[in-house]
Amino acid sequence: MRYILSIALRNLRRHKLRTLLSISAIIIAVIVGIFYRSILIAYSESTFENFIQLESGHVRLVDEEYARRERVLSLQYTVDGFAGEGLEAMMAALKEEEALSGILPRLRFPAFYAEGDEMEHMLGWGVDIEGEVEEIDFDRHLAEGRLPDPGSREIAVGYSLLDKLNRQVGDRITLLYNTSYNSLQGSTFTITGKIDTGLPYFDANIFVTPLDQSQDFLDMSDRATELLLFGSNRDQDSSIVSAVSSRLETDGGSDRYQLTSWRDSGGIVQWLMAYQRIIFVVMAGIVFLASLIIINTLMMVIKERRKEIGTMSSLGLKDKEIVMIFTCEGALMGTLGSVIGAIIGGGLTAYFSVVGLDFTEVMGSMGDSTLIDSVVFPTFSLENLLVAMVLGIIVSTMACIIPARQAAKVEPSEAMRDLK
Amino acid sequence: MLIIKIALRNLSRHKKRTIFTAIVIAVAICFYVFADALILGMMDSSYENITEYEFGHIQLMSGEYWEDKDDLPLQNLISLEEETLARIAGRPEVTGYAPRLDFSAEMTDGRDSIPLIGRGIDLEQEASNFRIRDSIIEGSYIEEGEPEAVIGQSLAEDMELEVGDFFMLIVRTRGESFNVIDLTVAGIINTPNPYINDNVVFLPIDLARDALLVEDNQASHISLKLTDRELAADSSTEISELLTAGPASENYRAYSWEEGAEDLIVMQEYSDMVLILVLGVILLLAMAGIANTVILSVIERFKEIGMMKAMGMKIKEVTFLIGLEAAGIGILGGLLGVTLGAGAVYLLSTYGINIYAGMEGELDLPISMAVIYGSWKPGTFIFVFFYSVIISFISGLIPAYWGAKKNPVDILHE
Repeated sequence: MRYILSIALRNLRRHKLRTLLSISAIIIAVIVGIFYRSILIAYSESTFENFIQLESGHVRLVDEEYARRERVLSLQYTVDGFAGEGLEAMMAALKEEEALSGILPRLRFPAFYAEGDEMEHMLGWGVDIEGEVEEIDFDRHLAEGRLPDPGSREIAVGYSLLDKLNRQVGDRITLLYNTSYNSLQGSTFTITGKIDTGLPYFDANIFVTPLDQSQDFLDMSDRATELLLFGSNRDQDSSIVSAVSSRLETDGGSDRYQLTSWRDSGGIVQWLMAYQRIIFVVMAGIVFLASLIIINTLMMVIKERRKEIGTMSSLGLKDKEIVMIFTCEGALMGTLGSVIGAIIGGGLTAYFSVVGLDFTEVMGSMGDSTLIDSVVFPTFSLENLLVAMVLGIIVSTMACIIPARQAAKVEPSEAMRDLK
Repeated sequence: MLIIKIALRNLSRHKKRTIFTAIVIAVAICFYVFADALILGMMDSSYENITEYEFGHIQLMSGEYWEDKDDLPLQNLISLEEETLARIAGRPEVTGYAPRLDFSAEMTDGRDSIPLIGRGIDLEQEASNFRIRDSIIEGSYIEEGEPEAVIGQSLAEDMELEVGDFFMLIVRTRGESFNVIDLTVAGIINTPNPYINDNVVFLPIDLARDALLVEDNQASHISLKLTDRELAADSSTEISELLTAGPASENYRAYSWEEGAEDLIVMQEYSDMVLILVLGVILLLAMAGIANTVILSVIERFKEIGMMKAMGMKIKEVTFLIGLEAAGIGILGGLLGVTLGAGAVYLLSTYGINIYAGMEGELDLPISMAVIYGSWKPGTFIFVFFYSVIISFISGLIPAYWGAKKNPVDILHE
């Protein structure tokens, strides 16, 4: 094995320029792959984080009937304890589970505001303000003012919703809503803060108010519409699900509550995950294209060295060993290219992860409605470099087996034939 | 002529190498053509969703209404004189028009409620110009003079409504008070436009006007359909001029669907950017491949090159000769790529592709998550072919010059 490697290495050194050229394509392919994936990861990571914190938790617990027609935001199918004993008691019991590091109850309800001939629809979130700050640093979304205080009729409003309502922090506003007994009622709130999450849907539709207040004015004491369960990190989702569902089995509620991991919450998360898979395939495709160039060189090398190959096989080298020599030669080129590519690609992403990539000029005409931030900070991660490098090595090595097999077909008699 | 002949012969000397390099280019081109057709197809179906179900090609409304059209106000409505409307409808590119009255409403069955958009429509005009009536999967279209409505399938499921069921729309009237419109579900539609399925209740415009205390001839906007969506930009400018030239003091304007579909246009631009990126990668790969091949063949043929120069060929001519060889590979790769690409696009446009397979939920854009069919654009094929030939030629020139300027004496000496 050792001598096969050293023959391959020596052969590569024989034509340094050619070797360098042959691997240039692999280098480029690996750099492109690393760079593109780092941007994608940066984008999906921030989306996943936001989604988990605002929508799904690591695992979300809701009533099955509530989830079936979630859009209605029914106040009839609530989380009110394992067997109706109340939200507080249920949360206290769940807190004993080791898999859980935090529980955020939320009470989501539709509300609207009417002025003149216009009606503005919005979504209220009754939340445990202190818990939200502690678990997901909710206060970092605060653009102005402060979060509402528990115990008082106060709200903090998404900034574009606030614009639509023509209100400012400090103003008072009367909102209408349906209580759990289905009677239309109104309350006057003081706007204490302006929220900017960067998520258009949230900022244009949602206001938050203390949970105790919303339970009070919606006639829903000791109830919420959902529980967001958090573990130490987002990969704990399955252990949370198994811990909580066995709890539901023993204490009751397993027939009405459903647990959903953030991974299965649908929408943008699954879209991004599918997109990541597509990008992986595209990357493999680009590396394969680049490998064709190595194949090209190998074929030429084999043709050049028919005499040498003939000599080797007449000296007793087996077909398998000759295939190995040339595969090694190709694999070495692929490895060299992938490593160089990973180093350059890693350097580039490391640089841009600090400086940021400014697409403002390219996207200049796109306006504010863009879904994607115009300045992107690619994520630098060793995992990304490794993935691209290993992909480059594997694909190029496999590609080289094809021409290397031709080398074994060379007859020993070729050694004696004058090729010229 | 001689040079071309030599170049051709040289290419056929190393068939495998030529073909391999050409394949690199061909696969890259094929990929580009396919991606372009896919994105085009996606945009096409989205544009169709907008023009056939929602916006139409042009909407006439007052400038003030356009400013806050998202709030669905009942102020600044449009009402056109018969004569003006006839003149617009009489234009050669205009095939039909439909007035609509949009309003914000709360749909309720007494138990659950959902905020949505009520859309008062002229039953005849809407049916003949838009695909609402054709999309009914259950029940029937609204009967003239009946308090009936057509709703989307997903909305019906969320509210657990079936054909014949009653529901109410709570609305805010122009008189600044609440009112309730009682309606019966006449039909359930399923359109490829998720926005329509989820958010819109269609009802007779007269009924909406009565309930909202809006005058008889007023509408939020008048939607026009044209013979071709490409005409919308020019036509809207001309109609705008026609509207402002009239005696009416109202600030009426015509807006094209492109102006209404900002989000999609942004997506289009984003997709274009991705395509440019793909083009860049093709460029790099093709360049590396061609340069590699050319250098290999130059190294192999130092002697030959020296001979040619000794026989009086100038550096320029030798460079050009080798560059031509590279261009030849580009032509071959281009032809192969375009042919493969055409095959791929044919498959895509015939069978379509479901890139959202296995995904639940919907994005907040008027894109249907159904099967996507490719669209043909001959320009792409022509462009990408010449692109590959020119890139090949240029990336062959540098290594060619490097080989051509070697001293013939040195080379022959070896």
